[in-house]
Amino acid sequence: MNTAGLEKVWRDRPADWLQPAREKGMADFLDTGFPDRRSEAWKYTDAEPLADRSQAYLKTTPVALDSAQLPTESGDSLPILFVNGRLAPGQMLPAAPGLQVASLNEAPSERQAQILSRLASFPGRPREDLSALNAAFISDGLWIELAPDTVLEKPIEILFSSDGAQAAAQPRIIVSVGADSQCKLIEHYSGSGAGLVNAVTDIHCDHDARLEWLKLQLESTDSLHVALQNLSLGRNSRARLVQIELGSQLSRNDLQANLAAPGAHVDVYGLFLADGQAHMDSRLEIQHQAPNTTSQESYRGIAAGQGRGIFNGKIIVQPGADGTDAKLSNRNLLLSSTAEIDTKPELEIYADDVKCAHGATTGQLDETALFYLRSRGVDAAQARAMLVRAFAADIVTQIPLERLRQQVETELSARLARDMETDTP
Amino acid sequence: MLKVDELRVSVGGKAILQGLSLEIRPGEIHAMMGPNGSGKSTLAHVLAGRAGYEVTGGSVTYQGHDLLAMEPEERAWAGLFLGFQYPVEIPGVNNVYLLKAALNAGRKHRGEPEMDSISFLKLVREKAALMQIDDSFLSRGVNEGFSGGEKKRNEILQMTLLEPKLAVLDETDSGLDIDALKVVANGVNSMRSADRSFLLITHYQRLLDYIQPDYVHVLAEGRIVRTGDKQLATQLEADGYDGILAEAASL
Ligand SMILES: Nc1ncnc2c1ncn2[C@@H]1O[C@H](COP(=O)(O)OP(=O)(O)O)[C@@H](O)[C@H]1O
Ligand SMILES: [Mg+2]
Repeated sequence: MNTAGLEKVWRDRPADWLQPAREKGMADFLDTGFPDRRSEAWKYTDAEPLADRSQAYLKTTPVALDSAQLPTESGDSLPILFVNGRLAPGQMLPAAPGLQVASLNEAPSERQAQILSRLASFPGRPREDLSALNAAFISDGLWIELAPDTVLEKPIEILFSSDGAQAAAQPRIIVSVGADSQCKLIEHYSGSGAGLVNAVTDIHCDHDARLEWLKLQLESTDSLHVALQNLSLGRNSRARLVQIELGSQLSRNDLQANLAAPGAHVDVYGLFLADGQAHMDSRLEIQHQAPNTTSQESYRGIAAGQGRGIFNGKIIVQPGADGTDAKLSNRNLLLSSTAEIDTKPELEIYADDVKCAHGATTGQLDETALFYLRSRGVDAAQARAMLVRAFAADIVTQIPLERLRQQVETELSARLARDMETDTP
Repeated sequence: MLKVDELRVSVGGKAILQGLSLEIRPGEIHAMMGPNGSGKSTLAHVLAGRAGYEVTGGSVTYQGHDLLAMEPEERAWAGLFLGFQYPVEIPGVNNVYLLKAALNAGRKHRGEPEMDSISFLKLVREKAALMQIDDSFLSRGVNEGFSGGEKKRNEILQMTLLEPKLAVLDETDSGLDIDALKVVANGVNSMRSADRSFLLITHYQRLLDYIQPDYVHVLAEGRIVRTGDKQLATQLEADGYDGILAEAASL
């Protein structure tokens, strides 16, 4: 794929303090360009629409944002608004004892070295993800640091909104959760129009930290969404990640979780709905790098209409990571004869004395259950929707905030009602 | 109320019901007995509209309508209820939620107003108490983790709530201890009325000690081979199906 156009756009940008990171990103990106289908990681997903839209949108100078409606603290979260990948101007960033939040574009100079070092050590994989492109074109982002022994009650809710402009949002979120600290982080993507998001979120948890992390992707059906989530867990730290992917025409989500020190634990819950013409590609890579690390991954996919879903979940147990206990389960539901889901759960084990299990199933709605509901007077479309919501419920109920749980349930119901109308088999 | 005329049904090319005729008038209780595999559940499923059964002959008329042309939910709206021999577990669909959806779907189609949440909950609690079902079961998934007896009581709870015109209860008595059997029988008896009918499918006459049937039918090889009153069930209990079947064959 031709990247010369992008290189020129990049050279013409005014340099800023992120320049060292941008240069490394651009060099890495130019090395490989956009991924193509020959790479195993992009076997099912065509990156061409991403390349086309990146070329088209990164050229345009970002539009002014002063009209953005700033969020008010809703009571149950600490909101931060990004519009088209840039922090909406004029907002107060959340403040609490032990909490530091800074925007990347306006990072205080004493933070810059720290941020650059995190950017430099980011474990991106140019052939597999778009993190190098993100680094080259960071549109804005956040540095969030929680000091040791800090408990943040309210979740930080980062609202990534697209306002319909032809903008390439390339946000970079960098989070450090201190030892013995606890926090909740929400990435909430929504908006209208044919936007492009290429987001990278990088979270480090120090020893004995607790993290709850929700990613909610409710973008418009015209948008393209790529996200890389990187999680590194220190000794005895625990994280619970919930991913809900309901939006975009093309969505690609990568999670790399590194259980880097003994006793680290992660739970991952994921759900995607690929309906209409949507294409949802979800990848998890759980690295057990140290002894006695444990993980549990539970991922569900639903495809309706002409939707296409891909799940690729890999557990890797590195040499020396004895006592690893890992369980990966993927269940998929096909609601129409034209929907398709490809699933590939994988285990790579290089240690002894480990407990690993993985399994994947793809099926249709249970006819017996459907008949049972209909025999009680529930009409066919409603009965089907009930069963699909039941299938999703194990994941949806993991959403840590009541308001967002309800929002997801409402969205799911509305979408399923529509899908059931058009998909009667 | 229900008229089954020379009904023939096959499953996967195999003839199961082979000319079954049965008429149930308003207010009547019919018991259908027969050995395992004689086609009792097949009849129940065909009446309720389950897919996978091929009707190769005969007809079923329910309240003047061609029952076999109706969707399962339309049959429910018209007052038909099937108590399943094996109630289905549906994790993730809340029991109360289903009850409310079912009740209001029926009301809507009969042109009655939907019931609000508060009156509905009050009603459910009342009926659940009658069936000795603990409130905690109401908020669980449909039949999720219920014991065999709890599932059967839940079926009867649904029946008492939906107030059908014709209830087909498929071996609701199987696997129940005597106390549970009494609870289930009470549920049925409390529903008896001049315009409500029951088809009790059972393998044992034990249930009929608690529910007085108007007619007892013996089903064998897809047909009703004997019809009588309560006495027939008693005779069955004494002589077993073999005796009755041999007698029927010799006629
Ligand atoms: N889905 C099915 N596929 C094949 N055979 C079936 C199916 N359902 C029932 N049968 C057969 O039909 C016959 C009658 O079954 P059923 O109606 O369940 O009998 P009963 O309820 O009287 O025990 C049995 O021989 C059974 O094996
Ligand atoms: Mg049976």
